[in-house]
Amino acid sequence: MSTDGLVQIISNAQCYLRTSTNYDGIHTQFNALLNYTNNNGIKGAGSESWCASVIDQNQFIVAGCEVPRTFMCVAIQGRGDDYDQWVTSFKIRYSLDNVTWFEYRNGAALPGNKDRNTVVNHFFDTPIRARSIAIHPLTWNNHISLRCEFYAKPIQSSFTQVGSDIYTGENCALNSGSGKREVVVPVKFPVEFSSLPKVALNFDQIDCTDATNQTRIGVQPRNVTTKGFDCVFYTWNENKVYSLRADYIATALE
Amino acid sequence: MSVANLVPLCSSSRVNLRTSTNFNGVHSQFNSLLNYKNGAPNTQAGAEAWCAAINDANQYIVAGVDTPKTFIALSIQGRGDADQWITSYKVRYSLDGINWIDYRNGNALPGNSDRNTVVTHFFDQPIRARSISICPLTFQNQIALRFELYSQPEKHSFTQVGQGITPGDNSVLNNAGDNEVLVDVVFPFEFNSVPIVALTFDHLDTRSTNTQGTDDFQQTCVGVTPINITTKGFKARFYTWNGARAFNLRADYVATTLD
Repeated sequence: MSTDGLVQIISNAQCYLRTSTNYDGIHTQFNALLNYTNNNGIKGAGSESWCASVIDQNQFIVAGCEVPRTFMCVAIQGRGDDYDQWVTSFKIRYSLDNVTWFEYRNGAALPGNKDRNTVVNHFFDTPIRARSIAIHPLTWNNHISLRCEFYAKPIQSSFTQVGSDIYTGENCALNSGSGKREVVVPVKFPVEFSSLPKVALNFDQIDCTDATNQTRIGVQPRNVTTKGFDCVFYTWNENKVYSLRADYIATALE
Repeated sequence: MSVANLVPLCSSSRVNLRTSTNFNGVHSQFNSLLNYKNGAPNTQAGAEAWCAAINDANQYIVAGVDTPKTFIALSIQGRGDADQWITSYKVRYSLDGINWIDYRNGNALPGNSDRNTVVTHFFDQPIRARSISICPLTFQNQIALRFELYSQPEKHSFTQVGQGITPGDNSVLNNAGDNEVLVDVVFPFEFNSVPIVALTFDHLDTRSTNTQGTDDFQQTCVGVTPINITTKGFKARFYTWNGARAFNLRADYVATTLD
């Protein structure tokens, strides 16, 4: 299994990090990213890892996201500089609603590191859907110190706008003539979209007359842009349509 | 061009900041906001800037947000309590968190030449991204900077959908005449403000009517519209007129607020 095509959540600054404790102000979550280095000896910059200040099984680092993510994998690594410190086993806890927390594999220990730099990846049995996810060290070598990364599927954010009562007007141009006919009503979105939306357009009022005992009416969006679209009401054959009215839902994803 | 009416993301605490390295615990991104001051140097509160631990071309400060923002400009400034500043930098950004793009192909942008003068760069085109980073290229004495990012104000949409609203079989709509049936609809969650509601048909069982007296004139007159829309729900008004009848009708709704 590969992390290709997955988003590195910590590297991309897509989450907030909180720790149970920090050894001091230069052994914090700021240094916790996988492969973090500060040239291993620039003393002021601190450890090449997060280091806890209390050494027990109550320590953790938790990553929180505002929108739910599908976490696929966690990577863990030892401290890179000066000291042989790493986490030898850990468990994962997570929450989607931030009220109820779950223990991955019922809290079973996952294998961690055996040296300073070798990265250990754990791909979750099934993808974890969560807003917050935490690494809880269970056993360690010398000190609770780790670098880490979470890999999640890319996300789409959606933005939706709705409009109602797009109207041909009474006794519109569809009420006479024959063959394919249309009435076009331009529609402007309340707010311009940041990317091109898809538009769903449906009837909410119909006043039409059959021809050859058949009802023939349609409505369709045309020339959709980020700013609006043309609402095209149409009929065909010999049908006469007194009026039509429609509502739309427009959604963009990015 | 002005940053008035744009959202100052760092000041608003709307971004998560990560740095390549920090000089130490009191030279971190915590001190990186434009015009940050803490009484330095007469304090242990650290630098009036973010300062990197390593002075090379691999340093950066990256800002991340969960939902895409339209970045319009950034401002950069030197360190307030020492002669340290960035003289040039480049910008990189990503929308999907996988593909990173070099703004202006990685060309250097002019930075600072003193401690406090703010230099603001308006992007050639608005940048749509979830992550954006400042990468110092050249510097005076030490990589140190204060900064701000400016984005367009944005709207957030919240949408609820409901399906299967119906007056039921053989209601009063099945009689000729101008008839209506009101059906109460309650939203699953109460909205924070009154939504716009799109309410449209997904099932029609209607009888057309002949009002013209000619053999081939059969008219369908049927409609549905939301009335009395509140944050909690609305009434779906199903109606017929002109002698047309509806044995049954059914509608779905999409309700959305923007804030």
